[in-house]
Amino acid sequence: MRGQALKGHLDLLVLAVLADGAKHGYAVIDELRQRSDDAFDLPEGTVYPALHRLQKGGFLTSEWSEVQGRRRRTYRLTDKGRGALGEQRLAWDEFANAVARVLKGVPWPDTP
Amino acid sequence: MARYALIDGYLDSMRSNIRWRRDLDDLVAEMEDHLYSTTEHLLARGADVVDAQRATLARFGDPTVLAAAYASNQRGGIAVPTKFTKRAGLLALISAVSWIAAAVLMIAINDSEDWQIRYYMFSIVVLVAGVLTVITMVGVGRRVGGLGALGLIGVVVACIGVLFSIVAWAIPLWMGLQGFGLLLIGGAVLRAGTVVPRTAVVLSSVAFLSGPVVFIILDALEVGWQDSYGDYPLAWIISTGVAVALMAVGLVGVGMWLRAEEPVDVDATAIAA
Repeated sequence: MRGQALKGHLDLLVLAVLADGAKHGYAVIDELRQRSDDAFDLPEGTVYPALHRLQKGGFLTSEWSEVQGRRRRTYRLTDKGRGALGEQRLAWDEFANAVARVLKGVPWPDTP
Repeated sequence: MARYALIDGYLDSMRSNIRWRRDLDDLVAEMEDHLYSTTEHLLARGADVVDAQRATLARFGDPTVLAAAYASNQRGGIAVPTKFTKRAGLLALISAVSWIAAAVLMIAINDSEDWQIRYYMFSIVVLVAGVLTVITMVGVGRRVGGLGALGLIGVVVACIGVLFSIVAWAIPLWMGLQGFGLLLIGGAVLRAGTVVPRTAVVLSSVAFLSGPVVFIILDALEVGWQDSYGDYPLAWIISTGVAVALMAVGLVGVGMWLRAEEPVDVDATAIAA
């Protein structure tokens, strides 16, 4: 999937990936890729501004540790983030179901 | 820990592209951890060290696009220091001095036989200071990636206040309008979600609304002597002095911040790419 199409949903996806525990940025991206069967191929660096934005909004907290001589930042969902994930997931389900209902019964166009 | 020349070169480039960020070291440390982790992962899978670095950087993304992403504020505007914002910093310092000069002239009017000349000088200085202050706050708006609708309304109201300052004696009118406009601009700046000197922005935002409040209190208390018009000049002087002092301190803070940052060139179209 192209990065542009992902852009509007990145916050929801990041919150979802962090729902089952704290992760650092590399692990967030790796999980996104694995769960989507490599469908999400956005530039990996763009996830970090999203993580920082979510932290600034109070949806995530982060802490630093040292791993193999490198500084590593790990992100964790806050209660506000968990609530936002629930709300955004509900909104996404409603949207996806509505689109599915519109498309249902529409025949696939003939392929040239 | 092994070092990787291509990765390090990329990190140097990013460091330069986002050097205005106050959390620069944290951002670069986080990128370094990611890039090194990816490279080591690829090396463990048998990749050549140069190929692993190239693949890592290709996956991470174009540094120009990423710099634009790091530069964007919560509304998506590009929030970087530019030549304009740096000049606005200089205007902030000049306007701070202008407001102090205006206050001194106002006090001098009350104690002078050639009060008319001093009043005209006061009018001109107030007008210049008002114009410079509005330009400064537009510069602050540019620095935080745009003011949004609320901030733009603030700019319009502040400009109307500056126009009314031609009638310099009507201090509550022009100071109130400018104060309300600056309050809206300050609110928009603080809402932009970008690192700003909050105290300085708050001071310059509330300064001109504090003047009328202080005046109302002092006038009600009948502070000082009463002149032939039935007014209390000391109430005028103190309230205007408080407003101007707060404004000058705020503008100096804003000006020093804007002047301290070196302009950068981030491609504004990259964020939309």
